Amino acid sequence: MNAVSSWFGGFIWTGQTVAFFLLAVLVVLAAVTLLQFRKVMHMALSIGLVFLGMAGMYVLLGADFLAFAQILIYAGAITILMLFAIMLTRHDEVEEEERAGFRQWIAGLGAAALGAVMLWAIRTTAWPPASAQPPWPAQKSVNALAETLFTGYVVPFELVSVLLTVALVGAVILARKEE
Amino acid sequence: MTTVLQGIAFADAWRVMAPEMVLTAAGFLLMLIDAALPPAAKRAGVSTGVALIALLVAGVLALRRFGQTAALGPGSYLLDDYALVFKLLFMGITLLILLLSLDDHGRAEGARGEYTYLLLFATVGAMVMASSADLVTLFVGLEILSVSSYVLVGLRRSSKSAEGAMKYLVIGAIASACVLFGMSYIYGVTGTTHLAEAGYTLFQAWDSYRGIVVLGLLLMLAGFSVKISVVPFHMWAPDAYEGAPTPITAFLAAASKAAGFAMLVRVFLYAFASHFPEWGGLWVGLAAVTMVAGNLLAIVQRNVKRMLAYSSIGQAGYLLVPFAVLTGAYHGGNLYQDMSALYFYLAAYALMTAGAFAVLTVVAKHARSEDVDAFTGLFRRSPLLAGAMAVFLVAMAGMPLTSGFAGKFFIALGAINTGYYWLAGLMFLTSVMAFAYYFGLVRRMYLQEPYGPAESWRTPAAAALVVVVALVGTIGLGVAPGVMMHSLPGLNWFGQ
Amino acid sequence: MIAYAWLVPAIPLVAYLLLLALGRRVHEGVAAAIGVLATLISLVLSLMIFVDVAQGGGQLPYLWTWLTFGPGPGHTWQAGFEVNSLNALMLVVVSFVSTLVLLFSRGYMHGDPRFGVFYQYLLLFVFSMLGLVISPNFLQLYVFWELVGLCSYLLVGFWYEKPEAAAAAKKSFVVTRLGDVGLLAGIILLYLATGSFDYDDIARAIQTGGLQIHWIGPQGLATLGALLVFLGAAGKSAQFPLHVWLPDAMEGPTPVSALIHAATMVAAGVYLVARSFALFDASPVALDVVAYIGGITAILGAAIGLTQRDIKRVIAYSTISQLGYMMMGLGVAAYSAAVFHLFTHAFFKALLFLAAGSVIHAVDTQDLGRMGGLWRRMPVTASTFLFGALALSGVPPFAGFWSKDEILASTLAAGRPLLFALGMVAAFFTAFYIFRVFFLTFTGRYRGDRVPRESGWVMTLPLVLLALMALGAGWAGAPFTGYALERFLGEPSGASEAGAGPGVMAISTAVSLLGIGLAWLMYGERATSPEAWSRSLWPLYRLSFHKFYFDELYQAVIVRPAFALGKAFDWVDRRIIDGIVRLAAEATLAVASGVRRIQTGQVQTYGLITLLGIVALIAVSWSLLWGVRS
Repeated sequence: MNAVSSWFGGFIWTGQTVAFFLLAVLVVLAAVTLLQFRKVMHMALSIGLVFLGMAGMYVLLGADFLAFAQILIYAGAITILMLFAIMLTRHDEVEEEERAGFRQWIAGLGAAALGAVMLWAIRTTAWPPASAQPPWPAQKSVNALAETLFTGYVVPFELVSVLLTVALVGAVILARKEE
Repeated sequence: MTTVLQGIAFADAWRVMAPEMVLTAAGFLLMLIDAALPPAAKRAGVSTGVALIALLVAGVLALRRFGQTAALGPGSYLLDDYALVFKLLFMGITLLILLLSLDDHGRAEGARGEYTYLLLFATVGAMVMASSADLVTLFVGLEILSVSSYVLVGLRRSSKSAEGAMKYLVIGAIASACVLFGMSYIYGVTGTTHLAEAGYTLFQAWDSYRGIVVLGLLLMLAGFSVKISVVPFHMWAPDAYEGAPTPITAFLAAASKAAGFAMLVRVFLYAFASHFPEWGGLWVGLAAVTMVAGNLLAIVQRNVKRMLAYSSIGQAGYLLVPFAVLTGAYHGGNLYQDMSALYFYLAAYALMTAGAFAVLTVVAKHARSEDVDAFTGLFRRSPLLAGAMAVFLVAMAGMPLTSGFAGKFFIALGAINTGYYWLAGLMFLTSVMAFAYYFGLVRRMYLQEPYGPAESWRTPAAAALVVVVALVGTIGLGVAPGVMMHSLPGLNWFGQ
Repeated sequence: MIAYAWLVPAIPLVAYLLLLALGRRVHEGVAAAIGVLATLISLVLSLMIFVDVAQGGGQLPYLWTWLTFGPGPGHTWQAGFEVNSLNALMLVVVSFVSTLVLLFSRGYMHGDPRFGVFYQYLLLFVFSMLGLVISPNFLQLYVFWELVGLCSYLLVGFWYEKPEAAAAAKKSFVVTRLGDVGLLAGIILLYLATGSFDYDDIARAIQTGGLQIHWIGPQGLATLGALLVFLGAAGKSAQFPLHVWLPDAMEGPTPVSALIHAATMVAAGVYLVARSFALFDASPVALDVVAYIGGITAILGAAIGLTQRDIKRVIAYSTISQLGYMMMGLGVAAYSAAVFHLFTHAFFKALLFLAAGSVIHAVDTQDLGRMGGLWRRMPVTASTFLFGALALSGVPPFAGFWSKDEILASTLAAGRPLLFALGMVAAFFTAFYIFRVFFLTFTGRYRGDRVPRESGWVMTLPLVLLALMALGAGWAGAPFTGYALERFLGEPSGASEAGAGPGVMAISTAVSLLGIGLAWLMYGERATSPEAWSRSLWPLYRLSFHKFYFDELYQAVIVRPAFALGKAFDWVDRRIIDGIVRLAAEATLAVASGVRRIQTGQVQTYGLITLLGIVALIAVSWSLLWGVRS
């Protein structure tokens, strides 16, 4: 009893936590409906919603620049690109015969177990009290990001260019092969 | 306000990552050549030639760095002998794979150029995995290797190939998500992505943040396990192996797996070594399950590629043992001994795998089938192929006087030294099981008459070269394992 | 010369590789010439080494470090070679018999489509056997031990299209493997105890009491180690109860039987026990086991030999019986007598097999009932066979007499009258069965249908040379040469020796002559009818004829249950595993039929399994996760 209440208890209901839960519910719902939709167009739209929700999360965490980039690139560019691709190509409705549930049940159980363990791990950890100050002032997050990227993480930053090239070329090759 | 941006001089970068730079440059060069040359021109020869030269240059550069240590960024990218031996292994395998694919025009003609440079990029990814001591760099390297591999698997024009690539992609993405999620937990607790620093912090944080740390560890372990196809995370491997062009299958089985081990050991050794005895049992269990399941499942296969895939899963089990047994007694001498055993077996395994797949490539091309029936009576058709295949198979099973035996022996010895007698016994038992199904194939090759007309099969020169190199290596390492085994513990492994 | 002893096995190896390179279509004459030449060079080298050893005594082994490993006290494994009086003698015997057998095979295997392959296998065997002999330690010995086993398997199954040959090859492989597991376990045990594979190191450790592991005392360890090693020796030397493979191995070509299953490989077990005699000597229990197993094998083999109708099988059982004698000799610590018998036996048994081969070659059957009267048609074969038979029976002055008597005398001197009695009865049986074969084959009326002709010189020359050895080889260790061979071999400490006194000699000669006489009455003169004897003694006859029902016993006790278990596994395999496989196959087919299915079906299962794997991983590491929370 105590253990369970300690998992869920101890929230301070501030505006931030309310916003967090609203966004969390939005993201989870959008992700779940994404899997349930039959039409590709609907799927693309709901993934856009997921991206938007995540941007909201970043704002809550004080990562303004990241939130901005998220909206610009993911919610904007990528979702739009997907919509274009869908509109320009032929797409049948994916009729998935509902094979009732043994696998779904197991998957659900597994996911629930995983979620429970994670929740348990997080809630039972004695976290240090959150510092009042965020690690950097909100308006400086761009600078902080840039500095980290170009000093400590310059090697992976450069390597990402190789990764992106590979992904791009790979997509082209696989798409061309289909013709 | 002014921020001092601390740049990295080219000279430093060259010193630490010259081989990677050469290979990356060669990859981009090949892309340009591929775009510029008319499709009618003999691209294959040119691009393979460029790639081979780049590999040789990179290999020489890597060889010249032995014994040195250096770091790029604040220690996020390391130059040490541990990274170097693995890089040499990757480059050697890629070299063999390129030679092997010289004859595989048939099914991947449209994508020849891509084939070569994607292979180079994949090698770069593997090398980054061996060298990086930073979670972010590591993940980027892992993704470079994975994404290139997905595409390479899907290069064949067949539904099997597409299916394999698809499955690999989906399961690989799940694995990447797991790894990333686990890494975020570790970062959350330690506040750093740098492995050694994280390890230092985790030494103290282990008890107070136990749940989080262990979950992060487990998630990373699960993700890595997918990459090295450890049971029960192995499901993608047989499908992807079957669908891929055969040389790529060899690459996945040899280089990709070796890269996974290089990464795995580096991460767990740097970050979690302080509490080794507590979590090391997991490895022991995974190793045991993988050995048994891989070898058992191989018995029921009729497609040789799938059989080799399951066998390579079993081999991953053996490869987990050296690190697993460190739990028994973790100290410096033991570590180097076990690292040597791991590396020795990886090298031996890579050679026999490359050889076996080289034989399979030639046989499958002649017989237009990868079924075991294609191997029936192979001795009558090509004594070289049959003899070589027999050697590779018995080496995989662990026949004395082959590298497979020497490697397994060193591994078993490590297990016995640290008191894991049952693990050594299990290795022996699964080896016996392996003999059962490998000998079935050997008998088929030697003692049965071939189906169809008894024409003799010609082995293309490049493939023959690969087979001979693998054969010499497999027997050489088996007869005189000391040559390699004596030099390995003397390496400046982690630069301490 | 001793420093070049590695050349002795190396030359047959080179010849083997040469033949391998020439391929299977090589001309018969070329293959035979290469083979005979190589073994001849080995023989000459062996003789030179033998002379050197005789003059200079033993030498330290020549060793190279092969492998060093291990944390803590480093382990060093060495490879190399070693020459001492025992293996110098073995080198001569092996290379001598090999040369003659390779020469003989030129005629015997003439016209076989795989003639070249036969010579390849033979040369590989010669290499392995010589390598085995000069190995300085157990580990190297084990490698060659397995190699000779492999060659034996290949050669027994040489005519693999005959189902009996394939089955016999498999049986020999499986049964000897049983012994090999014991040997390997013994080697590992001794290594754990002493940290060395070297015979001499282990012998030294035994003498200084440095032989112990924490869970077993020195005495128990010596016994266990010796018995495990003996298990390997018993498998290879076809000792009771692992003797069942040797008669079946006669399905191989006859030269193979002569070389591998009479003179050399089967003697490897005896050689092994002799070489590690210090180990056995440390354990009276082990010595007794060796002695009694040897005695039982000697009488058992001889008793079965009495009634067999296949000429090669009779000689095979005779081999089993004679190997039993050697083991018995070692068991009563008569080291040099046993080695002496090994030495003489190699010649006269190879002779008997080759002569039988010559007969089989001529009449194209192995059935004694379809031979007879060959004395006039094949005089050389007949007279050389007679030499071999006399040597085997132990009639003076033939070779077998001297060595067998020495073993028998030693059993008496060691205070084992039971063994002596077993040996004497076996000697009587031996004389009877071999002369039964002789009379049935060479005297009386010819009962076959093919006209037999004497074999050519490539086959008779080896016979004549071996016949001379069958006559004279025993003189090397006879009293009138002052036991020269025994002095050459030297006695390891603990071995006891007794020269055969006139009493033993007289009794054993009388027993042999009695056996020969009885055989003559039954099969030569036909004074008494063998059928009448077998009727009146029918239970014993049946027992002997059916080889004491060993095959049936093993069938019932081991093979059937194993098969039943196999059936059970098969059921599981077919009903359950195969079901899963078929399911997987159908799923794959379904997947291949449409891309849409791929994306919906299997990959989700894989994903699910991955998820479950993670959950399972967390579940098993629950204690780790929970930990000891402060």
